[in-house]
Amino acid sequence: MKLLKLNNKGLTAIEILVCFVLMTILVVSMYSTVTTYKNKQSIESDKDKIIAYKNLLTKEIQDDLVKKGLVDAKVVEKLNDEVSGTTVDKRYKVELLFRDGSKKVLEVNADYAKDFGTCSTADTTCLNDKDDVLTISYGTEGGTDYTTYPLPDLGYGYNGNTFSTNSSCSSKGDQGCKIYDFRINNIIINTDDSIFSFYVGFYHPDLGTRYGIDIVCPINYF
Amino acid sequence: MKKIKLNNKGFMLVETLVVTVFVMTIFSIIYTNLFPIVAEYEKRETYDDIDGKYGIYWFKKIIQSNDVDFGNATTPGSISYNIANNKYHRFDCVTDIPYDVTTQKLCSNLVQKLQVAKRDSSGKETDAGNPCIYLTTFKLTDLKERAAAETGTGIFSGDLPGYISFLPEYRNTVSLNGAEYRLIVEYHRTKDDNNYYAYSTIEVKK
Repeated sequence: MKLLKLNNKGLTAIEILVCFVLMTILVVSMYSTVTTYKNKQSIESDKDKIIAYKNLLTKEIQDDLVKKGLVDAKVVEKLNDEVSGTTVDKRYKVELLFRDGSKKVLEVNADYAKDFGTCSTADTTCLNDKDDVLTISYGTEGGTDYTTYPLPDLGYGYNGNTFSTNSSCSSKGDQGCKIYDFRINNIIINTDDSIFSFYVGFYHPDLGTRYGIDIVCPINYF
Repeated sequence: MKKIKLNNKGFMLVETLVVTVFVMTIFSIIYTNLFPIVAEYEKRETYDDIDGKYGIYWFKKIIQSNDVDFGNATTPGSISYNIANNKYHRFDCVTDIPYDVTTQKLCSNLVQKLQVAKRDSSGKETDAGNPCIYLTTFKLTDLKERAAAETGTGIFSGDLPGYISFLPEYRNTVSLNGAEYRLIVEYHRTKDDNNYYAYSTIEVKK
């Protein structure tokens, strides 16, 4: 019986090399694509959270405006406070009066993180809750339905000693206060021409100023 | 006994390369076809968003009020006539609300505050143009045909045909509210340096 002759040569070095080169090209080209999509997925996830926040608040407010009927809207507090020449705090409060006699308040609060005071050896973290406070509140003032909706946390950084008046702070390793990536950019509240218009524009590092809460409702029109 | 001859040669490099090129071609075809889908998704984000839906509600309220007269289908220029003959009527705050100045003013102010797009008869966007508020039949079969035939001209020059083709025909549906009409509004959002168009629709029962 003749012996079976097997081809045990295997791949040559050049074939393996070609395969490796091809694989490397493929992986490198795929890497940038995968990274792009990974970033896109992260932005889309942020977008989902922003839209969910916007829709929730818009629905809460618009439900009352449409179903109860807006009789009057008064801006009772309007603050655009410039602090340290760099940060402008914003606080707006509007009273909404409905046809059934009920009254609700709508408040927007944008307290931006500031310098945490005089530097001392103990100042290693942000003092006195001076992180960014970005909220929108709606409901009956002092009532159980009064709810504060903080902006979704989509990441943050620290202001360090940027606003510190004392240069020696930087050597003490102070952490600074939280500055959120997703912020309130613009607030426009108007009751002109018998129309209540309420606009809170948001800012996101990747999405820019694309999203905001935009409510327009005629006053005394049922 | 017959000798068994095994073929242990495997694939040639050329064969492997041919298969690789073939597979890569298929992948690239799939990839390029995926792009228009992503673009379409981004466009549809502006269709019937929450601001647009609540905004259009107030125009519906105005149209449902007694201040707006639909006229009859035999009077040229009336809402009923235009819907019957042109498949749509372009709503105007002044001519369609002729007797009540307060409602007329409210309508114009809403157009401004809700950022309703304004276009002239050629479809060019201009402040002097009429607001893009269209009243049509509840079922969109006729309007869809017209939009498809006239895409790129007149009122159908923006992305309005795209939105109309996206909407269902409502051919085999009856409105639960007994609505006979449908309102379509085009917004041009420019607040906070934005610059995009949004569309919304709502049924109207007169």
